[in-house]
This record gives sequence, C-alpha cells and structure tokens, in this order.
Amino acid sequence: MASAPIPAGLEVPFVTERLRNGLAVVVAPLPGVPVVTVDVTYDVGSRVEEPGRTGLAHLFEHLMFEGSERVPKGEHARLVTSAGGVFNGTTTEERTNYFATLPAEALELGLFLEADRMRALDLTQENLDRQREAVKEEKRLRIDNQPYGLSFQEADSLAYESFAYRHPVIGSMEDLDAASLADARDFHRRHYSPANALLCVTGDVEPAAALQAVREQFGELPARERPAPVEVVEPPPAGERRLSVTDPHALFPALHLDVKAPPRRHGDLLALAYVEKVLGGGESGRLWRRLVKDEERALSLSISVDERRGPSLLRVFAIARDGVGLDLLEREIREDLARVAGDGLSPREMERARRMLEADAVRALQTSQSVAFVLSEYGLYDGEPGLFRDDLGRLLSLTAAEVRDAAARLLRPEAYSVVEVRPGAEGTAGAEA
Amino acid sequence: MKKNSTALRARATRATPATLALLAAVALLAAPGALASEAKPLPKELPPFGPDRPLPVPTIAQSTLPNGLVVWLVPRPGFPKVSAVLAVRGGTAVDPAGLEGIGELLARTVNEGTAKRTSRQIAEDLQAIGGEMNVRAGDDAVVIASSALATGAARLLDLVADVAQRATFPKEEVELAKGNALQELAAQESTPEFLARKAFASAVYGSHPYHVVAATREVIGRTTPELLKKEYARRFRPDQALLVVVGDLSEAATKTAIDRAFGAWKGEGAPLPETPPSPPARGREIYLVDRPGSVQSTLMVGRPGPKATDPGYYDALVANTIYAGAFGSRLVQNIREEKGYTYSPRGGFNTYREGSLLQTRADVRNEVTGATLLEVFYELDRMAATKPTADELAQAKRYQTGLYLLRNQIQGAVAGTLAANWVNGLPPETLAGFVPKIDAVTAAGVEEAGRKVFLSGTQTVVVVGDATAVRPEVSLFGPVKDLQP
Repeated sequence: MASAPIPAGLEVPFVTERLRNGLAVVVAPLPGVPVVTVDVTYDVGSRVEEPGRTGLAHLFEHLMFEGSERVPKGEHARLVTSAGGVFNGTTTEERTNYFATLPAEALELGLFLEADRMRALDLTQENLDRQREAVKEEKRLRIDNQPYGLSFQEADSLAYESFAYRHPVIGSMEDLDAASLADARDFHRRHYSPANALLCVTGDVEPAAALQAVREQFGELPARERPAPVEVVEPPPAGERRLSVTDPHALFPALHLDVKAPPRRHGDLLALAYVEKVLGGGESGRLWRRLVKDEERALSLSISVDERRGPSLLRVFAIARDGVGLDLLEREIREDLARVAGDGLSPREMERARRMLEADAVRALQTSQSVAFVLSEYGLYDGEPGLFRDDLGRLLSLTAAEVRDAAARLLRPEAYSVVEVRPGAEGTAGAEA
Repeated sequence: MKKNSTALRARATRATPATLALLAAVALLAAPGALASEAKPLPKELPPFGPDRPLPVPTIAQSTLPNGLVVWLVPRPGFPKVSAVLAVRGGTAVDPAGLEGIGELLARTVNEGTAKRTSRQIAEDLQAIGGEMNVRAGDDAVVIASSALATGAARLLDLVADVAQRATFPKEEVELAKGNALQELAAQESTPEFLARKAFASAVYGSHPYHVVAATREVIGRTTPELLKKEYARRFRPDQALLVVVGDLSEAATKTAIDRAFGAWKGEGAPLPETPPSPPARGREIYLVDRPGSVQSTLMVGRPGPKATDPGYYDALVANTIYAGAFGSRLVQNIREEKGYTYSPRGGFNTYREGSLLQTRADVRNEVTGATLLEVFYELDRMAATKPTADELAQAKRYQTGLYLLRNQIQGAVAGTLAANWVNGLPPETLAGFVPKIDAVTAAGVEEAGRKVFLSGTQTVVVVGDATAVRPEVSLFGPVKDLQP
C-alpha cells in the first residue's frame, strides 16, 4: 500500500526524550491559545488482567485521584479546577491515561501532580473500599441498568477467544470485592513505573523549557522494571458465532453484528474506515439512510471500528423499530456488507469517505488534548509518535480496489459474531455454536 | 472507562472543554467523599504559576453586505479547517401564540431540503468537503453551525446560503421530524429535571417569551410545512442575520464566496418584534410539582439577572462561580462535601439577549429537602452580606478565564462565541475583552452583585417531588403553590 503526503497543517512537530528512569517524554508545541495539556498514559489496560482479578486497571484509575504523598486527598481536583483547568482519566482494554488541560502558566503544577502520584500514591484500605464502592456504583449506573449495556459485554465475549478481550474493562462484582490492598500496592509497583508510561505535553510551550520542567519533576523518580508485554493473539475466525440474550431494560429488540478484524495499523483495518464511513458515516451513510430514514426499519444504527493492539472489531449495532423483526434487520445489514465485499465502493463514495476521514483527522488534531492522545498512543504502542503521519498518509491514499480487496478478505460470515438482544427478564436465553 | 476508537478519528463526542469539565465532574461525582472536608496543609513544594499569558487578540474583519447581512471573518491560518456560523434573530421567543416551541421544529427541518438539494444531497455535499452542519434554536436566535475542510470553504458557504435562502420543508421530512420530536418529548417528560425546568421557567417568566422550554405535544401536532415556511420567512432574512467564518481562509477569496452565495438573499415584510426586557425578580415564591412516589426531590432556585451589556454582568458571573458555579464553590462544599445532602448541586448562569438567569439545581433525598433549601438560602444571602476572600476571588477568576481559554482552542467554538455575543447585543471585540473584564472584577463588585441578584428573598423556588412527603419541609419557608406537571 502506498503512502502519501498528509494535508498541510497536520504535521504536528514534536520532540522526544527518554529519562534515565525509562519515562518516555513527548513535547509538542502548538501555537495559538495559551493552554497546555499534560497527559500520562500507562501501558496498562484490562488486557493485562487475569481471571479472578478483573477490573483492577479501571479501579486503579479511581485510586489515582485519592491523593499522594505531597498532594492531600481532594487537592488534585481543587488545584486543577481553581487553576482554570479540567482533568480526567480513562481506562480501556489497552491503556490507562490521566490528563489535565490548564492555562499555560500552570504547566509545572500539572507535571507536579502527575509526578507525585506516579512516585508515591497514597494507597489505603479506606481509599480502596471507597473507590471499590464507587466503581460498583458506576457499573450499576452505566452498564447493568442501561438498556443494552450488558449486551456490549456479551458481544465482546462472543467475538473473542482470549481472556484479555473477553472480559469487560469494568470487571466483575466478585473480582472487585476480592481486590485487596496488597493487590493494589502490587499493581502500582508493577504497572505504574516510569518505564511503563509515556508523558506527553502539548500546547503553548517552548520545548526546551518544557523538557527541563519535566526533568525537574520526574527525573528523580526511581527506575523500576517494566512488566513483560502482553500479546493478544487469536486464531483466525473459524465460523460464525451466535448468541441470543434478553435485556430487562431494553424496550426494543436490537442486534450486534461484529466482524473480527486485524490489529491497529494493519492496512486492511485502515480500509475498514472507508466501509464505516460509507455505510454508517455518522448518520448519513447509505445503510443508515436506508434502514433508519428511508425504510424506517431501525430506530438507530451505528457502525464503528473498535481498534485494538490485538484483533480489532468492526461493530454494527442496530435497534429495531417496533414490529420489525431482527431477522429482517440482520439480512439487510449482511446484504450490504456482502455487497461491499463483492463490488467495493463507487468512486464517488470513496471520494466522500476520503474527505470525511481527512476531516476526522483534522478534528482529532485540533486541541492540545486530542493531539496528546494521538501522540501518546503511537509513542507508547509503537515507540514512534510520528507514525500517526504515516498512517494518515496511508489511509488517505487507499484506492477503491484496495478497499474492495480488504473488504473481501474481512467481511466473511465466518468472521461474524451476532448477538440478538430481546426485551425480557434477565438472563441469557441460549447460545449456539 | 472509555471505548476504544481510532486515534486519528477520536471524535465520538467532539470533546469540547465544556464536555470535559462535565466529564471531570462526573468522574468525581462517581467517587463520593473523594474530597475530604477537613483542611489539610497544601504541599510546600507546589510549583508557583508562571507569568500569565494573554489570549492572542484575533483580527476580526467586519463588513456588511448591501442586503444587511453582517459578516465577521476571523482568519486563523495554519490549521486546514473552516467553521461558519449563521445566526438569525428570532428564536423561540418570537414563536406565535399557540405555536410556542415551533422554533425548535424549524431548526430540525430547515436543512432537510432546499430548492436545489434534497436532504440526501445536502448530506452528501457535506461529506464531499468533510463537513458537518447542525441547526439549533435558542430563545433569541436560530443558529446554523457548520465546518469543513479548508479546501471546501466556498462550497460550505454555498450550502449554508442554500439552507438560509431556499429551504423547502418537504412534507415527509417534516413528518419524520415531528415523530422524532414527539419521541424525545416523551422521554424528557419522564425526568424530574425536565418537569422542574418547565415549571421554573413559567414561574420565573410568567407570560414573557422566555418561558418556552420545549414545544408541547399539541404544538408539534399542529406544525405543518406551511407554518414552518411562514416562520422561516420571518426569521431567515439578511437584515437580521450574522455570518461568522473562522479558520484557515483567505479574506479576499472568502468575501468573494460570501458575496456570491449570500448577495442575492432578500428579506420581506416587517422586521421581527423586539423581545421585551426580562421581568424583574418576583420575590420568594415557592412552587411544588407533585411526582408521587419520588424518593428524591429536584430543587431549582433562581431569578433573572443582568444582561450581558449591563455593568455588573461580569461581577455577577464571578459571584456565581464563588457561590455554586464551580467545583469547590461554597454551596458545593457545603451541601455536597460537608453535609452529603447531594452529589450534584450546580449553580447555572445562562445569558440571553434580554437578561440572564441564575439557577441553582440540586437533586436531594426527600428527608433533606428542607435542610438543603436552608443551606441554599444561607449561601445566597452570604453572597450579599459578606465579601469573598482574596483566595476565593482569585480562584473563581482563574476558573472563568481558564475555561474560556480552553474553549477558544476550538475554532468552531470561537465562531460560536462570536455569534452568541452578537445575539446578546455585544460587539466582536468582546471576544478579546472577556479575560481582562473578568480579571478586573473586585471583591466589592462581587458583594454588590450579591446584594443585587443573590439575596434569597428575591428567588423563585421550584420543588419537584412527592408532594405528601416534602410539603411539610418546603412550607417552612413560605406559602406553597401547587403546579401541575
């Protein structure tokens, strides 16, 4: 696959450094507005969790806001907010990140807060107990009691073989209950070391000065061993999988159709972005238009690429309109996927998708925070933040033939997993091989 | 937690700073008690702030087309995107009697077909330039917000102009929009928050046009393509519109494109009526909306405040931040951190063309409804009776200016801020003037704002909850009037 130059203005110059303790540092000066983002990404997500220990990576994200040696409990939020900044943390299967965007004059405050909790987190039984309850509440609120919430987990479990991706990021209630203070301390020691993290500073900064500030705050942190990397490898898809579940919170039947796909950066996965745009396209794609708008068979339809370091998924999720059978909905979706695999996309569809993908990249690079996310991902996973430019060039130069060939390789029924969700009392109605 | 997406397309929620602030709050709310109430020493090693850096003052090229359309261009070179916002005066405040809320349906349908393009063609033409278009109706204006790759700037302007001048309101698109609106209304009506907002708006504003919160079922049912066309003609006219274009653009080429796309636009008939000034505060009036079986009550306390053009507006904004408008503000500290009555107290401050609206909202357990009202009144009166400390003032100002800077990272937000300023009667210079104006607020100014708009005796109170359970507590503070949900 050929690469191509990327649109002017999206180059994002940056400098990198690795501190003696192993911390990878990326600094990207962005002209314009006087704000700065400090983003620390740890190479720890739910993929590293073992059976009986699920949910720890995400629970830890909560514990990181409970105070550290020099930052009393509650001060992190107060200091960032009263400096005029915003902050958050997120956990995925792949990594956990912590970020704050602040007025540029508060750069050192942001660095101080991250360095202190990387070095000396205040882990106590009280904090653990409190955050365990908070996570359980979050699980009840955002997953267990949401329509279709649990069905996304069912869909993951069906699509994947490996435990790393079969279990949910939020973990199970039993495992959360079983997590001990010793587990948490061990987790911090193993995964929250400088060598297992990447610090990205983006915004209105002068790179040399920012690097100096980083060395001052993080340079003295002791080095610790980096844990062995976890590889998630799956056998090639060997047949369609199906599952039927009931959901007491759902008002209408719904359907997940997931297609197993290659890892991030793979050329075929880049090609799926065109399929996503042409079919779903943020509520203007052809499948969305047919099912939701013209024929009014579905209340909603979303198509997305769930990109991972191991096998990824093309996800299709549709909620049926009252009185429309799931079999009909599924047939329509399968037919359109098969059409893409057979005929590919028209030149006009390709061109529109290309412009939408270019615009997505522009939007993904428009704030200091979103730039930090992009550079951190490539820096942490690939050791080279600038690879995002290669991928963007490859993505924008894909041809209709390349997309069709990739679709023909990937959009095969033996790579599908289908979950039918029907309103009804709790429980799984039955699984078929 | 967060779902994976693709890094280069990480835009599922187009994270604006406002969303971020909200997310941050949610993350914390998920962790009750994360903030210890006991005072602990601040770290001695805490790095000091560096020198303040001002927001670079953008150049705003202002012009007016012969047909009256006001144009503000803000070149921001280097980043290959443009944002175009067209605001037309006439939001829900000018909706005709019996059709209150039709402005929302106008916004839903105006870009679903023109004399030149079907709904599908509009969508595809946007895709072809990597574009997006959203239309919203507020109280004072209908606003088309759009963006595209910089290479598609002229085509984007052509699309916006087409929607502004030649919308056709096809029957099937109007029917679909009505169906969606009814569905959303049904979902909203099941929430106490919506019931509270509706009751609060009608209690505060009475028959003033700002009382409209959403179109009723009847108004949605009554809406036809013909009525929408009539409302469209009243509002979409160049002599009551502003076009803002921000981004990687050439001033000359953009002006040419604007002339070509908007030059022939004409308005007819009488101009829209001015919205009357926001009514004065009504004094303490307490309303109860019964929601039988509810274990929580939703409280709203508030009143109209100053216009954006009034002296004292920025004082009130900073005062509200100290009172309840930010994390760590007085009311949050009091009823969330110290007393644990609620996870979610919030002090809102909305600005409209004819005034602002202060509103405190909290969802609390039935049994602490009276106790929460007591603390809300106490904190409101404290704003009037005492000056803020130097720390409180400095933090509130930093919070306001910091969020403003964050918001202005996104060019679409700059365009949106400029348009909102125009709607509220403010000149383009207000964009650069915000930070200095906040910085200039003094403790005496905050106290003055406290006396003018915070005194608890001047606030309207709405409680949505189980009337039997909470009436005795609510009645402690004055006579209670019942409102139908």
